[in-house]
Amino acid sequence: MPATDQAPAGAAPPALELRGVTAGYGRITVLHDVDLVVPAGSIVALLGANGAGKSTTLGVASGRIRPTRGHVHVAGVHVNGASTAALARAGVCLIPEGRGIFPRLTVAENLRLVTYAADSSAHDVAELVYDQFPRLAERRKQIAGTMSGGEQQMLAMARALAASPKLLLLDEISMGLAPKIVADLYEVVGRLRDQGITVLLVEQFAHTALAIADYAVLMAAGRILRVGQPADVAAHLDETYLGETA
Amino acid sequence: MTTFLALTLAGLVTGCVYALTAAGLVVTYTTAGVFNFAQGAMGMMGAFSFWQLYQGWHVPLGFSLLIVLGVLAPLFGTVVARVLLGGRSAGDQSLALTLALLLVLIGTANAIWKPTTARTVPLWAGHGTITIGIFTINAMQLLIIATAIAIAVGLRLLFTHTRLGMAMRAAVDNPDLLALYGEEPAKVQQVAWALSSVLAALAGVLLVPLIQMNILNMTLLVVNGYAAAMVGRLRSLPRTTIGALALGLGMSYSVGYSTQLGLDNHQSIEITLQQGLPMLLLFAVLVFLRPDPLRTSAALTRRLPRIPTLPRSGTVAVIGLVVAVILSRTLSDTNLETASLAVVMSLIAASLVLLSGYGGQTSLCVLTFAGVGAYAMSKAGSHTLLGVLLAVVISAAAGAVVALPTLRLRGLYLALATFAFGGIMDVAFFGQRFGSSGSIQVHRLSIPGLGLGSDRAYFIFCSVVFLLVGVGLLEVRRGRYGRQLAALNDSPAACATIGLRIPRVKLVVFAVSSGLAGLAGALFGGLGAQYVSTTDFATLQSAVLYLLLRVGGVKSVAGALIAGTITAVLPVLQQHIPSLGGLAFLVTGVAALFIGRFPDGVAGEVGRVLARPRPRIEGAPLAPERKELVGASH
Repeated sequence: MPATDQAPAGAAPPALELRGVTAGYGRITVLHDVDLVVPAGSIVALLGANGAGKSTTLGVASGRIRPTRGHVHVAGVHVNGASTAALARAGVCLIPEGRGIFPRLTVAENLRLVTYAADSSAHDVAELVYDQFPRLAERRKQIAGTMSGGEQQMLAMARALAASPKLLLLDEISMGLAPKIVADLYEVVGRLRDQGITVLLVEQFAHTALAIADYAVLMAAGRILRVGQPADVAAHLDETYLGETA
Repeated sequence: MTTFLALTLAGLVTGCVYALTAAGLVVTYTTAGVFNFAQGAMGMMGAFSFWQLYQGWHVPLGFSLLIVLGVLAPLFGTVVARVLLGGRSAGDQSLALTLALLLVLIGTANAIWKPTTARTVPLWAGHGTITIGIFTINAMQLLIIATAIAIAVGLRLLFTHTRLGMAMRAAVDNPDLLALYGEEPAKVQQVAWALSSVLAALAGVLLVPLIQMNILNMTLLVVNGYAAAMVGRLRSLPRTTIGALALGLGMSYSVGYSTQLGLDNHQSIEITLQQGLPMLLLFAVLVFLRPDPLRTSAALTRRLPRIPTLPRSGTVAVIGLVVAVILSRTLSDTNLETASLAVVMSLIAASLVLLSGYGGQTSLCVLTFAGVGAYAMSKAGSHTLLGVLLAVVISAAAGAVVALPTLRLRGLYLALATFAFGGIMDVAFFGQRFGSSGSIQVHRLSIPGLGLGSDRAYFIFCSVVFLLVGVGLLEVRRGRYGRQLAALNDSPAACATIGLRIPRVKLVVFAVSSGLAGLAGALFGGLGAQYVSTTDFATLQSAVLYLLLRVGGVKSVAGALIAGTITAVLPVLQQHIPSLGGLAFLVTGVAALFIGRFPDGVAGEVGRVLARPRPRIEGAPLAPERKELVGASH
């Protein structure tokens, strides 16, 4: 089960590695001694009920939350204490829950900001994104916040496309969207993986996530319960969501 | 025709200075979400620093400009962003913090540059004039207009065509998200503040050869830029510029032509127009603004307030009365005067506890209502209870009159509207009604048998009124209406969804609070020499009292007592340290800088220490309420 084991000698270092991570908000501890390895080039689905600690795990990986104990490595580099912005420039791209866009800026301006994390020029970014999402090309001068939820999520995903990150963290990209749009978005996720981008995704629709994932990780109460092939983990889903954590 | 052209030119120049200031306001608002009340004071500091270098120390012009605009101003802006706001942009607190900064700067400037010394700066851009037809413009005016155009164009390009500018605009909505894009939001906001500080200083430096150097006037002159910025809803630079030019021209024409009419009192009209018009525009723009939709926000109250029970507040009130009686017998005449002032100011502050503390409605014109009360007492009732009653009713009505057009305004917009109303009343009401001497007599209340003619008896009487009001406020807070106010403070959107009539609740709280302030005003008039003057009720003093209440604790009656006491003591302190001018402003401002850390003020912190749970025996219940809960579940 590669998601927790050490990577074999000689292979590329895992895109993300958490070792004994304990983290939380203020005095509340959410994650307890979490070990997680996301192999380079794979899609890992992080599943679990509300409050299991999925988003917190993404928060630790993106530098938004500093672990109180344990170590975080991105592509083999120890990154504890690095700021979110520094990690973003180093190739960690988190698409946060809700719409990860600036609602008062236009579509084009949103894309312009992507170039902080991407090496490419503003022009290249726009070309790339408009090619993938023709809908955004039509709306490039529109204020982003006035677009539909699906279009906004496309714009958020455009950052993942344009920044070509080393590690893409997706937090519930399907939230509040129609199934058709969710399918479109996941198609993009698949394409990104094909380009060699590593993806760690958190998803409430477990089966959607399992269908695309190479590995799945099941969390409950801030601990990792099970790691394995999507099919194996799927068999244990019900008991987790219904609250039996043993 | 010549007059028209001259007035147009003067108006354009003034408008350009407003545009510069307003642009600075727009920069900090669009990038940090902070309306910087201290923008004018920052411009004033820039102008005085420039004078110090250029005239005081004879530093060459170029170096003086470079030091002020290239070093001091950006440095100051960065420090403000880092230390004062620390990346935070909480609306209500940032309002109080920048207001505090305004006072600190006025106080500091007063301490450094004695107001009695006359200072002038020559037309540093040169004395040459250019004549085109009948149009003559001097180099300084030309420079101001050119700078304003360059800044307007430059800012527009910065915000719409550069990545830094877009990041600045993005930072205000969601700084955390900006970090995910790879940009440090704190750094972006510091750049924005530095830029805004330079714009303020630039306005000051350009303006200083054309006007008298006066700390307060220069600070308040730039306040006129508020109205212009509001025309652009604090976001649109083009509209802000148009607003600034319109204001500059409007003032120039109205003042110019009213002077030409040759009326006897043209000077007073001129002052009224100059000071009143910008405030009138500000108020009008605010009232006609399209309201923001009610936003749901996660209001995080870390600690629930403890409201004392009636027996408890009653006991405290009785103790307070005993203390008042003892004080009335022991204090010297001078100290008794200070103590009486403290009690009456506390009563005014208590009216704000109701409005701002419980209801969450920021008002920066509380003294205006106190002034209306004092005026009513003076004119209508003279020393009878009827006079006090009229003072209460008329002030309450005035409060309702302000509340009606501003019912849909909240937060910053309401604060600015009350600020504008206070400004209008300063010139249009107090300035006119209090006559040329600026003061009127208010007879002290006289009730047969109480012997209020004695200062000591009057002190006890005022204390009793304050204590009764205090107990009453706590009763209101505990009751149904108090819960409605608290809910309104917490989330107007949630209130609307449960069918609470927000306008009615707001109207009532404004009227009652203003009535209380009016009551205090009527009592205030009877203090000491029984004269009140326009300066007693100036809007800037209202802002000072508001801040002192935040320092004392805006949600508690004890906080009002602290605020009132400081207000009364500060002038006494100033008498003892005459060398440090502007001490009251400085002390208030510095103290208020800490409200970011202690939002519940002194009273809140002291209350917390007193309420800290004592070490308890193992297994003993936490508190009686806890026991009841456990009991009920069985």
